[in-house]
Amino acid sequence: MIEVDKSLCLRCGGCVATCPKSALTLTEHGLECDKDKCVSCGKCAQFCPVGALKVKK
Amino acid sequence: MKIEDRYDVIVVGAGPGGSRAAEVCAKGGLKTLCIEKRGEIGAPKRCAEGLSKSARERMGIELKPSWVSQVITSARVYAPNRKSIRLDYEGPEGWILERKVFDKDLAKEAARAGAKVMAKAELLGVKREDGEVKARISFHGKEREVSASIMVAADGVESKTARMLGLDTTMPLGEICSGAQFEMTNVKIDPDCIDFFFDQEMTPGGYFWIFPKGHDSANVGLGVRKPWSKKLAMEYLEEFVKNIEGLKDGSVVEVNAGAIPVGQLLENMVKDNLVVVGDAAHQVNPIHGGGIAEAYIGGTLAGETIVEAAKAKDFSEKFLSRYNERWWEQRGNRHKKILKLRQALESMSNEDLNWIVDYLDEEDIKKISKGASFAKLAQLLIKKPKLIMIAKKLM
Repeated sequence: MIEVDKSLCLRCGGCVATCPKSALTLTEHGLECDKDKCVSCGKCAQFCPVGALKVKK
Repeated sequence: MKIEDRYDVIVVGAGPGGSRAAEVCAKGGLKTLCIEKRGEIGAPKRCAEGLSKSARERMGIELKPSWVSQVITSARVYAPNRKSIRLDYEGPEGWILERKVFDKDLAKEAARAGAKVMAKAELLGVKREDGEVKARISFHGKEREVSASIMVAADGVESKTARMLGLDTTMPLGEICSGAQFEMTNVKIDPDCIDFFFDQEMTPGGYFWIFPKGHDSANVGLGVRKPWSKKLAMEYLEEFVKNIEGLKDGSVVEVNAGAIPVGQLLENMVKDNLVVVGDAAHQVNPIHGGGIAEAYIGGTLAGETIVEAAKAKDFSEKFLSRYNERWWEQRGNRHKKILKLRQALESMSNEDLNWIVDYLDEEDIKKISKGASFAKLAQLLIKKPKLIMIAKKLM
Protein backbone atom coordinates (compact mmCIF):
# COMPACT_ATOMS: atom_id res chain seq x y z
CA MET A 1 0.00 0.00 0.00
CA ILE A 2 1.20 3.49 -0.84
CA GLU A 3 0.74 6.46 1.43
CA VAL A 4 0.40 9.87 -0.25
CA ASP A 5 1.50 13.03 1.49
CA LYS A 6 -0.95 15.42 -0.15
CA SER A 7 0.89 18.43 1.26
CA LEU A 8 3.91 17.52 -0.90
CA CYS A 9 2.25 16.11 -4.05
CA LEU A 10 2.33 18.48 -7.04
CA ARG A 11 0.06 16.23 -9.10
CA CYS A 12 2.52 15.60 -11.92
CA GLY A 13 1.07 12.13 -12.55
CA GLY A 14 4.34 10.30 -13.20
CA CYS A 15 3.64 7.75 -10.49
CA VAL A 16 0.48 6.69 -12.33
CA ALA A 17 2.51 6.11 -15.51
CA THR A 18 5.02 3.90 -13.68
CA CYS A 19 2.46 1.80 -11.78
CA PRO A 20 2.42 -1.70 -13.30
CA LYS A 21 -0.87 -2.59 -11.60
CA SER A 22 -2.94 0.51 -12.48
CA ALA A 23 -3.44 0.99 -8.73
CA LEU A 24 -2.97 4.76 -8.77
CA THR A 25 -5.39 7.36 -10.11
CA LEU A 26 -4.81 11.08 -10.28
CA THR A 27 -8.19 12.71 -9.77
CA GLU A 28 -9.08 16.34 -9.28
CA HIS A 29 -9.07 15.61 -5.55
CA GLY A 30 -5.49 14.35 -5.63
CA LEU A 31 -3.76 11.02 -5.93
CA GLU A 32 -5.64 7.91 -4.87
CA CYS A 33 -4.31 4.40 -4.35
CA ASP A 34 -6.46 1.30 -4.72
CA LYS A 35 -5.14 -0.92 -1.95
CA ASP A 36 -6.60 -4.05 -3.55
CA LYS A 37 -4.49 -3.53 -6.66
CA CYS A 38 -1.29 -2.13 -5.08
CA VAL A 39 1.51 -4.68 -4.63
CA SER A 40 3.84 -2.27 -2.77
CA CYS A 41 6.53 -2.52 -5.46
CA GLY A 42 7.55 1.08 -4.73
CA LYS A 43 8.16 2.13 -8.36
CA CYS A 44 5.93 5.18 -7.88
CA ALA A 45 7.85 6.27 -4.77
CA GLN A 46 11.15 5.86 -6.63
CA PHE A 47 9.84 8.07 -9.39
CA CYS A 48 8.22 10.83 -7.30
CA PRO A 49 10.12 14.11 -7.84
CA VAL A 50 9.12 15.50 -4.44
CA GLY A 51 9.07 12.52 -2.08
CA ALA A 52 5.31 12.52 -1.58
CA LEU A 53 4.93 8.73 -1.72
CA LYS A 54 5.90 6.10 0.84
CA VAL A 55 5.44 2.34 0.79
CA LYS A 56 3.47 1.36 3.88
CA LYS A 57 3.94 -2.26 4.90
CA MET B 1 -24.74 24.50 -20.95
CA LYS B 2 -24.93 20.76 -20.85
CA ILE B 3 -23.27 17.59 -21.92
CA GLU B 4 -25.43 15.52 -24.24
CA ASP B 5 -25.96 11.75 -24.17
CA ARG B 6 -24.13 10.96 -27.36
CA TYR B 7 -21.22 12.34 -29.40
CA ASP B 8 -19.25 11.02 -32.33
CA VAL B 9 -15.99 11.67 -30.48
CA ILE B 10 -15.05 12.18 -26.84
CA VAL B 11 -11.61 13.72 -26.34
CA VAL B 12 -10.23 13.29 -22.83
CA GLY B 13 -7.84 16.12 -21.93
CA ALA B 14 -7.59 19.68 -23.25
CA GLY B 15 -3.83 20.06 -23.64
CA PRO B 16 -2.32 20.85 -27.06
CA GLY B 17 -2.89 17.27 -28.29
CA GLY B 18 -6.50 16.93 -27.12
CA SER B 19 -7.62 20.40 -28.18
CA ARG B 20 -6.05 19.98 -31.61
CA ALA B 21 -7.66 16.56 -32.11
CA ALA B 22 -11.02 18.04 -31.05
CA GLU B 23 -10.58 20.96 -33.46
CA VAL B 24 -9.79 18.70 -36.43
CA CYS B 25 -12.69 16.35 -35.62
CA ALA B 26 -15.13 19.25 -35.30
CA LYS B 27 -13.93 20.80 -38.56
CA GLY B 28 -14.47 17.41 -40.17
CA GLY B 29 -18.13 17.65 -39.21
CA LEU B 30 -18.07 15.35 -36.20
CA LYS B 31 -20.01 15.99 -33.04
CA THR B 32 -17.16 16.35 -30.57
CA LEU B 33 -16.90 16.63 -26.79
CA CYS B 34 -13.58 17.61 -25.19
CA ILE B 35 -13.37 17.27 -21.42
CA GLU B 36 -10.67 18.55 -19.09
CA LYS B 37 -10.59 17.38 -15.50
CA ARG B 38 -8.85 20.47 -14.20
CA GLY B 39 -10.74 23.63 -13.39
CA GLU B 40 -8.28 25.70 -15.41
CA ILE B 41 -6.97 24.58 -18.78
CA GLY B 42 -3.16 24.81 -19.01
CA ALA B 43 -2.52 25.24 -15.28
CA PRO B 44 -0.63 24.21 -13.30
CA LYS B 45 1.98 23.69 -16.00
CA ARG B 46 4.24 20.64 -16.11
CA CYS B 47 6.49 22.11 -18.71
CA ALA B 48 9.46 24.41 -19.28
CA GLU B 49 7.34 26.06 -22.02
CA GLY B 50 10.01 26.11 -24.73
CA LEU B 51 9.05 25.81 -28.41
CA SER B 52 11.73 25.80 -31.10
CA LYS B 53 11.42 27.44 -34.50
CA SER B 54 11.48 24.09 -36.26
CA ALA B 55 8.80 22.70 -33.92
CA ARG B 56 6.55 25.67 -34.69
CA GLU B 57 7.08 25.13 -38.41
CA ARG B 58 6.07 21.49 -38.05
CA MET B 59 2.91 22.53 -36.21
CA GLY B 60 2.11 24.92 -39.05
CA ILE B 61 0.78 27.70 -36.82
CA GLU B 62 1.53 31.37 -36.22
CA LEU B 63 2.13 32.32 -32.61
CA LYS B 64 -0.10 34.98 -31.06
CA PRO B 65 1.82 37.64 -29.11
CA SER B 66 -0.11 36.75 -25.94
CA TRP B 67 1.25 33.18 -26.06
CA VAL B 68 4.88 34.28 -25.95
CA SER B 69 6.64 35.36 -22.77
CA GLN B 70 10.11 35.46 -24.33
CA VAL B 71 11.73 35.35 -27.76
CA ILE B 72 14.93 33.27 -27.81
CA THR B 73 17.83 34.06 -30.14
CA SER B 74 20.70 32.19 -28.45
CA ALA B 75 21.40 28.93 -26.68
CA ARG B 76 24.25 27.93 -24.43
CA VAL B 77 25.38 24.42 -23.60
CA TYR B 78 27.43 23.90 -20.44
CA ALA B 79 29.77 20.99 -19.83
CA PRO B 80 30.13 19.66 -16.27
CA ASN B 81 33.27 21.82 -15.81
CA ARG B 82 31.05 24.81 -16.73
CA LYS B 83 32.88 25.47 -19.93
CA SER B 84 30.18 26.53 -22.36
CA ILE B 85 29.49 26.85 -26.04
CA ARG B 86 27.15 29.63 -27.04
CA LEU B 87 25.09 29.42 -30.22
CA ASP B 88 23.83 32.69 -31.64
CA TYR B 89 21.12 32.74 -34.28
CA GLU B 90 20.22 35.51 -36.67
CA GLY B 91 16.57 35.75 -35.68
CA PRO B 92 14.19 34.04 -33.29
CA GLU B 93 15.23 30.42 -32.88
CA GLY B 94 12.51 29.65 -30.37
CA TRP B 95 10.05 31.00 -27.86
CA ILE B 96 9.18 30.49 -24.22
CA LEU B 97 5.40 30.30 -24.12
CA GLU B 98 2.87 31.05 -21.41
CA ARG B 99 1.16 27.67 -21.33
CA LYS B 100 -1.93 28.74 -19.46
CA VAL B 101 -2.70 31.29 -22.20
CA PHE B 102 -1.57 29.08 -25.08
CA ASP B 103 -3.44 25.94 -23.97
CA LYS B 104 -6.63 27.82 -23.27
CA ASP B 105 -6.50 29.48 -26.70
CA LEU B 106 -6.08 26.10 -28.42
CA ALA B 107 -9.14 24.86 -26.51
CA LYS B 108 -11.01 27.95 -27.72
CA GLU B 109 -10.00 27.12 -31.30
CA ALA B 110 -11.55 23.68 -30.82
CA ALA B 111 -14.72 25.25 -29.45
CA ARG B 112 -14.90 27.76 -32.34
CA ALA B 113 -14.64 24.87 -34.77
CA GLY B 114 -17.75 23.42 -33.15
CA ALA B 115 -16.47 21.13 -30.40
CA LYS B 116 -18.04 21.29 -26.96
CA VAL B 117 -15.20 21.96 -24.50
CA MET B 118 -15.88 21.40 -20.81
CA ALA B 119 -13.40 22.16 -18.03
CA LYS B 120 -13.82 20.50 -14.65
CA ALA B 121 -15.33 17.45 -16.35
CA GLU B 122 -13.59 14.24 -15.41
CA LEU B 123 -13.65 10.79 -16.93
CA LEU B 124 -14.48 8.30 -14.17
CA GLY B 125 -14.57 5.16 -16.28
CA VAL B 126 -15.09 3.86 -19.78
CA LYS B 127 -16.00 0.55 -21.36
CA ARG B 128 -16.58 -0.77 -24.83
CA GLU B 129 -20.14 -1.92 -25.61
CA ASP B 130 -21.95 -2.68 -28.88
CA GLY B 131 -19.14 -1.25 -30.99
CA GLU B 132 -19.09 2.04 -29.07
CA VAL B 133 -17.54 3.50 -25.94
CA LYS B 134 -19.67 4.23 -22.91
CA ALA B 135 -18.07 6.79 -20.62
CA ARG B 136 -18.93 7.84 -17.10
CA ILE B 137 -18.20 11.53 -16.74
CA SER B 138 -18.41 13.66 -13.63
CA PHE B 139 -19.45 17.23 -14.38
CA HIS B 140 -20.31 19.85 -11.77
CA GLY B 141 -20.68 17.13 -9.16
CA LYS B 142 -23.10 15.08 -11.24
CA GLU B 143 -22.23 11.75 -12.79
CA ARG B 144 -23.56 10.85 -16.19
CA GLU B 145 -23.16 8.34 -18.95
CA VAL B 146 -22.13 9.53 -22.40
CA SER B 147 -21.59 7.31 -25.42
CA ALA B 148 -19.48 7.87 -28.52
CA SER B 149 -18.10 6.05 -31.54
CA ILE B 150 -14.53 6.76 -30.48
CA MET B 151 -12.49 8.13 -27.60
CA VAL B 152 -9.25 10.12 -27.84
CA ALA B 153 -7.01 9.57 -24.81
CA ALA B 154 -5.09 12.84 -24.54
CA ASP B 155 -5.08 12.93 -20.76
CA GLY B 156 -1.38 13.24 -20.20
CA VAL B 157 1.26 11.13 -18.63
CA GLU B 158 -1.16 9.89 -15.94
CA SER B 159 -3.59 8.63 -18.58
CA LYS B 160 -5.50 5.55 -17.62
CA THR B 161 -8.00 5.91 -20.42
CA ALA B 162 -5.93 3.79 -22.79
CA ARG B 163 -5.44 1.14 -20.09
CA MET B 164 -9.19 1.07 -19.41
CA LEU B 165 -9.72 0.30 -23.10
CA GLY B 166 -7.05 -2.39 -23.24
CA LEU B 167 -3.89 -0.59 -24.36
CA ASP B 168 -1.05 -0.72 -21.84
CA THR B 169 0.87 2.56 -21.65
CA THR B 170 2.79 1.82 -18.43
CA MET B 171 6.36 3.10 -18.52
CA PRO B 172 9.50 1.54 -17.06
CA LEU B 173 11.26 3.83 -14.56
CA GLY B 174 14.33 4.22 -16.77
CA GLU B 175 12.25 5.72 -19.59
CA ILE B 176 10.60 8.49 -17.62
CA CYS B 177 12.38 11.59 -16.39
CA SER B 178 11.50 12.85 -12.96
CA GLY B 179 11.29 16.62 -13.31
CA ALA B 180 11.20 19.54 -10.90
CA GLN B 181 11.04 23.22 -11.75
CA PHE B 182 10.83 26.63 -10.14
CA GLU B 183 9.44 29.59 -11.98
CA MET B 184 11.79 32.18 -10.53
CA THR B 185 11.90 35.93 -10.52
CA ASN B 186 14.43 38.56 -9.50
CA VAL B 187 17.15 36.42 -11.07
CA LYS B 188 20.14 37.53 -13.11
CA ILE B 189 19.89 35.87 -16.48
CA ASP B 190 20.50 36.52 -20.14
CA PRO B 191 16.89 36.93 -21.32
CA ASP B 192 17.50 36.06 -24.99
CA CYS B 193 19.42 32.88 -24.26
CA ILE B 194 18.32 29.45 -23.07
CA ASP B 195 20.85 27.52 -21.02
CA PHE B 196 21.37 23.76 -20.85
CA PHE B 197 23.70 22.28 -18.22
CA PHE B 198 24.89 18.69 -18.54
CA ASP B 199 26.32 17.14 -15.41
CA GLN B 200 25.99 13.47 -14.52
CA GLU B 201 26.64 14.17 -10.84
CA MET B 202 24.29 17.11 -10.35
CA THR B 203 21.53 16.14 -12.76
CA PRO B 204 22.05 12.44 -13.51
CA GLY B 205 20.25 11.00 -16.53
CA GLY B 206 18.91 14.41 -17.58
CA TYR B 207 19.91 18.06 -17.73
CA PHE B 208 19.34 21.36 -15.98
CA TRP B 209 17.72 24.24 -17.83
CA ILE B 210 17.16 27.98 -17.57
CA PHE B 211 14.36 29.14 -19.88
CA PRO B 212 13.92 32.94 -19.59
CA LYS B 213 10.51 34.55 -19.22
CA GLY B 214 11.27 38.26 -19.34
CA HIS B 215 14.41 40.12 -18.27
CA ASP B 216 14.47 38.92 -14.64
CA SER B 217 12.36 35.73 -14.61
CA ALA B 218 12.80 32.17 -15.83
CA ASN B 219 11.66 28.58 -15.67
CA VAL B 220 14.53 26.88 -13.90
CA GLY B 221 14.37 23.13 -13.72
CA LEU B 222 15.88 19.73 -14.27
CA GLY B 223 15.09 16.17 -15.07
CA VAL B 224 16.77 13.14 -13.51
CA ARG B 225 16.35 9.47 -14.18
CA LYS B 226 16.86 6.04 -12.66
CA PRO B 227 19.10 4.14 -12.35
CA TRP B 228 21.50 7.10 -12.10
CA SER B 229 19.61 9.41 -9.78
CA LYS B 230 20.02 8.79 -6.07
CA LYS B 231 17.93 11.62 -4.62
CA LEU B 232 14.63 13.37 -5.31
CA ALA B 233 14.48 15.57 -8.41
CA MET B 234 13.50 18.43 -6.08
CA GLU B 235 16.63 17.90 -3.97
CA TYR B 236 18.84 17.98 -7.08
CA LEU B 237 17.08 21.16 -8.17
CA GLU B 238 17.59 22.95 -4.85
CA GLU B 239 21.26 21.98 -4.93
CA PHE B 240 21.74 23.17 -8.52
CA VAL B 241 20.04 26.53 -7.98
CA LYS B 242 22.27 27.16 -4.93
CA ASN B 243 25.30 26.72 -7.19
CA ILE B 244 24.35 29.20 -9.91
CA GLU B 245 25.36 32.73 -9.07
CA GLY B 246 22.51 34.54 -10.86
CA LEU B 247 19.82 32.28 -9.39
CA LYS B 248 20.69 31.60 -5.79
CA ASP B 249 19.13 34.77 -4.37
CA GLY B 250 16.03 34.72 -6.58
CA SER B 251 12.39 34.27 -5.56
CA VAL B 252 10.13 31.37 -6.46
CA VAL B 253 6.69 32.25 -7.83
CA GLU B 254 5.66 28.76 -8.93
CA VAL B 255 6.78 25.21 -8.14
CA ASN B 256 6.20 22.53 -10.77
CA ALA B 257 6.83 18.83 -10.99
CA GLY B 258 6.64 16.75 -14.09
CA ALA B 259 7.05 13.34 -15.57
CA ILE B 260 8.67 13.34 -18.98
CA PRO B 261 8.34 10.19 -21.10
CA VAL B 262 11.67 10.14 -22.93
CA GLY B 263 11.77 6.70 -24.48
CA GLN B 264 9.64 3.61 -24.89
CA LEU B 265 8.02 4.77 -28.09
CA LEU B 266 4.70 3.05 -28.66
CA GLU B 267 4.50 1.02 -31.87
CA ASN B 268 0.75 0.86 -31.47
CA MET B 269 -1.36 3.79 -30.24
CA VAL B 270 -4.81 2.55 -31.25
CA LYS B 271 -7.40 -0.04 -30.28
CA ASP B 272 -10.99 -0.48 -31.41
CA ASN B 273 -12.72 2.87 -30.67
CA LEU B 274 -9.53 4.38 -29.20
CA VAL B 275 -6.71 6.67 -30.29
CA VAL B 276 -3.98 7.85 -27.89
CA VAL B 277 -2.28 11.23 -28.30
CA GLY B 278 0.50 13.31 -26.71
CA ASP B 279 2.21 12.42 -23.41
CA ALA B 280 -0.33 9.62 -22.94
CA ALA B 281 1.15 8.05 -26.11
CA HIS B 282 4.74 8.99 -25.09
CA GLN B 283 4.94 11.41 -28.04
CA VAL B 284 7.90 13.35 -26.68
CA ASN B 285 11.28 14.21 -28.19
CA PRO B 286 13.53 11.72 -26.40
CA ILE B 287 16.57 13.98 -26.11
CA HIS B 288 15.22 17.29 -24.84
CA GLY B 289 11.87 16.10 -23.55
CA GLY B 290 9.84 18.69 -25.50
CA GLY B 291 6.28 17.60 -26.19
CA ILE B 292 4.15 20.60 -27.19
CA ALA B 293 4.64 20.25 -30.95
CA GLU B 294 4.69 16.46 -30.75
CA ALA B 295 1.29 16.38 -29.04
CA TYR B 296 -0.14 18.95 -31.45
CA ILE B 297 0.99 16.93 -34.47
CA GLY B 298 -0.32 13.74 -32.82
CA GLY B 299 -3.65 15.54 -32.34
CA THR B 300 -3.74 16.60 -36.01
CA LEU B 301 -3.01 13.08 -37.26
CA ALA B 302 -5.49 11.52 -34.81
CA GLY B 303 -8.22 13.98 -35.82
CA GLU B 304 -7.66 13.38 -39.54
CA THR B 305 -7.75 9.62 -39.06
CA ILE B 306 -10.97 9.81 -37.02
CA VAL B 307 -12.70 11.93 -39.68
CA GLU B 308 -11.78 9.26 -42.25
CA ALA B 309 -12.94 6.49 -39.92
CA ALA B 310 -16.29 8.23 -39.49
CA LYS B 311 -16.72 8.44 -43.27
CA ALA B 312 -15.92 4.76 -43.59
CA LYS B 313 -18.05 3.98 -40.49
CA ASP B 314 -15.15 1.86 -39.28
CA PHE B 315 -13.60 2.49 -35.86
CA SER B 316 -11.72 -0.78 -35.71
CA GLU B 317 -8.09 -1.03 -34.62
CA LYS B 318 -7.28 -2.13 -38.18
CA PHE B 319 -8.70 1.01 -39.75
CA LEU B 320 -7.31 3.34 -37.08
CA SER B 321 -3.83 1.89 -37.45
CA ARG B 322 -3.21 4.34 -40.30
CA TYR B 323 -2.69 6.83 -37.44
CA ASN B 324 0.26 4.68 -36.27
CA GLU B 325 1.69 4.61 -39.77
CA ARG B 326 1.41 8.37 -40.23
CA TRP B 327 2.86 9.20 -36.83
CA TRP B 328 5.76 6.81 -37.27
CA GLU B 329 6.50 8.18 -40.71
CA GLN B 330 6.35 11.83 -39.60
CA ARG B 331 7.80 11.60 -36.08
CA GLY B 332 8.43 8.11 -34.72
CA ASN B 333 11.30 7.05 -36.95
CA ARG B 334 13.07 10.32 -36.21
CA HIS B 335 12.46 9.88 -32.48
CA LYS B 336 14.00 6.44 -32.69
CA LYS B 337 17.15 7.97 -34.16
CA ILE B 338 17.28 10.72 -31.55
CA LEU B 339 16.85 8.11 -28.85
CA LYS B 340 20.14 6.55 -29.99
CA LEU B 341 21.94 9.84 -29.45
CA ARG B 342 20.45 10.16 -25.99
CA GLN B 343 21.49 6.65 -25.11
CA ALA B 344 25.00 7.50 -26.26
CA LEU B 345 25.12 10.66 -24.13
CA GLU B 346 23.71 9.06 -21.01
CA SER B 347 26.46 6.47 -20.89
CA MET B 348 29.17 9.15 -20.70
CA SER B 349 30.89 10.35 -17.57
CA ASN B 350 31.47 13.99 -16.66
CA GLU B 351 35.05 13.61 -17.82
CA ASP B 352 33.85 12.38 -21.25
CA LEU B 353 31.39 15.26 -21.55
CA ASN B 354 34.06 17.84 -20.68
CA TRP B 355 36.33 16.30 -23.30
CA ILE B 356 33.64 16.43 -25.99
CA VAL B 357 32.81 20.08 -25.38
CA ASP B 358 36.52 20.87 -25.78
CA TYR B 359 36.50 19.37 -29.26
CA LEU B 360 33.17 20.50 -30.69
CA ASP B 361 32.54 23.93 -32.10
CA GLU B 362 29.37 25.97 -32.47
CA GLU B 363 28.50 24.56 -35.88
CA ASP B 364 28.95 20.95 -34.72
CA ILE B 365 26.60 21.48 -31.79
CA LYS B 366 24.02 23.17 -34.02
CA LYS B 367 24.11 20.18 -36.35
CA ILE B 368 23.91 17.61 -33.57
CA SER B 369 21.06 19.45 -31.81
CA LYS B 370 19.08 19.42 -35.04
CA GLY B 371 19.71 15.70 -35.34
CA ALA B 372 21.03 16.43 -38.84
CA SER B 373 24.01 14.18 -38.61
CA PHE B 374 25.63 12.26 -35.82
CA ALA B 375 28.63 11.41 -38.00
CA LYS B 376 30.79 14.22 -36.66
CA LEU B 377 30.12 13.20 -33.07
CA ALA B 378 30.83 9.58 -33.90
CA GLN B 379 34.11 10.53 -35.62
CA LEU B 380 35.14 12.40 -32.50
CA LEU B 381 34.19 9.68 -30.06
CA ILE B 382 36.14 7.12 -31.99
CA LYS B 383 39.36 8.95 -31.06
CA LYS B 384 38.98 7.94 -27.44
CA PRO B 385 39.19 4.17 -26.89
CA LYS B 386 36.63 4.02 -24.09
CA LEU B 387 34.12 5.90 -26.23
CA ILE B 388 34.37 3.66 -29.30
CA MET B 389 31.42 1.57 -28.24
CA ILE B 390 29.31 4.71 -27.93
CA ALA B 391 30.48 5.90 -31.36
CA LYS B 392 29.35 2.61 -32.85
CA LYS B 393 25.85 3.15 -31.46
CA LEU B 394 25.64 6.38 -33.44
CA MET B 395 26.72 4.89 -36.76
